[in-house]
Amino acid sequence: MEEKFILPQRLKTISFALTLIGLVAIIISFFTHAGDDDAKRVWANLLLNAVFFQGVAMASAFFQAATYVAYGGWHTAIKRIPEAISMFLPFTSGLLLLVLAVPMLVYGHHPLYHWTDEHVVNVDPILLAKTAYLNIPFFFSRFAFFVGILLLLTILMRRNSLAEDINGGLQYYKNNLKWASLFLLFFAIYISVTSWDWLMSLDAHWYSTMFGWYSFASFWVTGIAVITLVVVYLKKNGYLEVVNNNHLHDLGKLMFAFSIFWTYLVFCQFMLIWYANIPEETMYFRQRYDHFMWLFYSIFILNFVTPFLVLMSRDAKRKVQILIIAACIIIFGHFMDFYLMVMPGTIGTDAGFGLVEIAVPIFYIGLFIYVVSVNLSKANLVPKHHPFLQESMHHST
Amino acid sequence: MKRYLLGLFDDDEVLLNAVDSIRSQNIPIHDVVTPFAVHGLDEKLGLKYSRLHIGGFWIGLTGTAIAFSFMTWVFTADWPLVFGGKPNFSFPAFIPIMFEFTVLSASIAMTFAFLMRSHLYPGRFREPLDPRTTSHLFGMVFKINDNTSQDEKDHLSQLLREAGAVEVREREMSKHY
Repeated sequence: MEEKFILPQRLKTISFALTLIGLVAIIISFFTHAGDDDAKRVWANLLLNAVFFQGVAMASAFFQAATYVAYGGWHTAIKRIPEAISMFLPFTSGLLLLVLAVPMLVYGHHPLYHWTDEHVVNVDPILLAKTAYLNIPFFFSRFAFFVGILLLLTILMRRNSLAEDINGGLQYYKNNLKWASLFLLFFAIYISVTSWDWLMSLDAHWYSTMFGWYSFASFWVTGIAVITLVVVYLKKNGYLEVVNNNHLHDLGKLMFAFSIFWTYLVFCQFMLIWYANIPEETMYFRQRYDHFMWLFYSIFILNFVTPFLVLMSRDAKRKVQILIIAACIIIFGHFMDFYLMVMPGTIGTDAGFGLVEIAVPIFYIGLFIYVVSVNLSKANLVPKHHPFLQESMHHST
Repeated sequence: MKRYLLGLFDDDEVLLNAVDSIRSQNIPIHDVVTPFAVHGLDEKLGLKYSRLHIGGFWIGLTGTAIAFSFMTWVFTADWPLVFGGKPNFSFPAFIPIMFEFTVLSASIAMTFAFLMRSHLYPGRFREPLDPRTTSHLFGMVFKINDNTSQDEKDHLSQLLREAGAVEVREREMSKHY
């Protein structure tokens, strides 16, 4: 049962190199885009990645909380992986706060959120009517409240889980059950509120009641795909002996199921707007359809058709290579899905593919690899005193 | 008359090990009857994985195609109507019905395929080999016939008892079990 992940020097070098290259490239792109309208394209990419990785880390914390509350046992053998990924949360939250707050301090308003600009709001009756919710102090207090509470609960769950490893006993599990229930309660509100704040308010004239669920589905399926990739990486490097095909099969099932769930929500949102045909709602899709049509259709193929056909059979879900391919496609596809939420409303036709589009993800991936592997190496890879460990070892699907 | 030899076990762990030891002697096990689903038994018996879901996929796809072509025919050729100023061929409006029809055809077809494959229909009564296998015993079933010598039967029951069977009995049935 004693199994420690030793951080390979090569991985450390790679992650440092990626972070550094990304950081330098971001700074360079600030200079190259300085002449543009408040370096909007750089901020848009920073926001996109900050929100995306925040979602991945939060989905991992949600994975733990949901399995605790459901008395889930199958995942115990891989429990350390979502735990380690959720420890990325303090970093993503801090970076996201920087991306939201720094432009406000520099420019006096956020270049991406036009409702933060007083001159725009004062002549816009629609935005004026929304100022009770969309104002800067309330925006940041919502951020502080929800992210703060969830961050605290995530850290508590992690700390309990590590203490359980050393001391054993059931009280850690019971405490975590309490924190997990509270986590889910706040997460339900967090996911709706923050997706309105960070993503939907980019198109401040538009609204959709499906939006919170829609972005939750996206975050959740991406989170599972990332967990799967880390599990497969560890497994390939000879760790996680107790993990077998059955656990991979379950991760594959979750990816498959929530890809369909995502499609369902995307279609529900689209279908209702298409059917009602009210200009203030359809304008959201008009923007995407006019300038991003190829992307609009291809995310549907990436996020629904491919996982649906690739992961359908039982044998496919039990093959590591197929899982890697499917997980990569899902992560890329959902990244593009968020791209489609952020870009048309902020930079529109200025969107393109250049240095900054590569720099920001590279920076985040480097940081992700470093933080997650350090947290993996901090504890035993198998939670040896977890009450459901035996169940997980005998899991069969 | 169909004749069967039945080894009865009172523990599922013992049964699983017994399946291994009998199969390692190259004796074909006809069936195993249990009061509840025993995990890992299918793999130990070497049963093939069910192909029911493959049928479900293709029939579901057929359902999608039928729903799509029917609606297209109705709304463009047979009885075109204008709804809310939308074009006659309004693909997004077809999707929910295509989805529902896919699920409906796949589930109905899979239900009937399952009933047919397991020879079940309303009113069918299957006499149990041993009524106790429906409450607390696990039965391992072997086919025997008139040519099976007493020696072979003794050898088999000896093996079963060594593997942990609490009782070995012969059973005659009027129909195939």
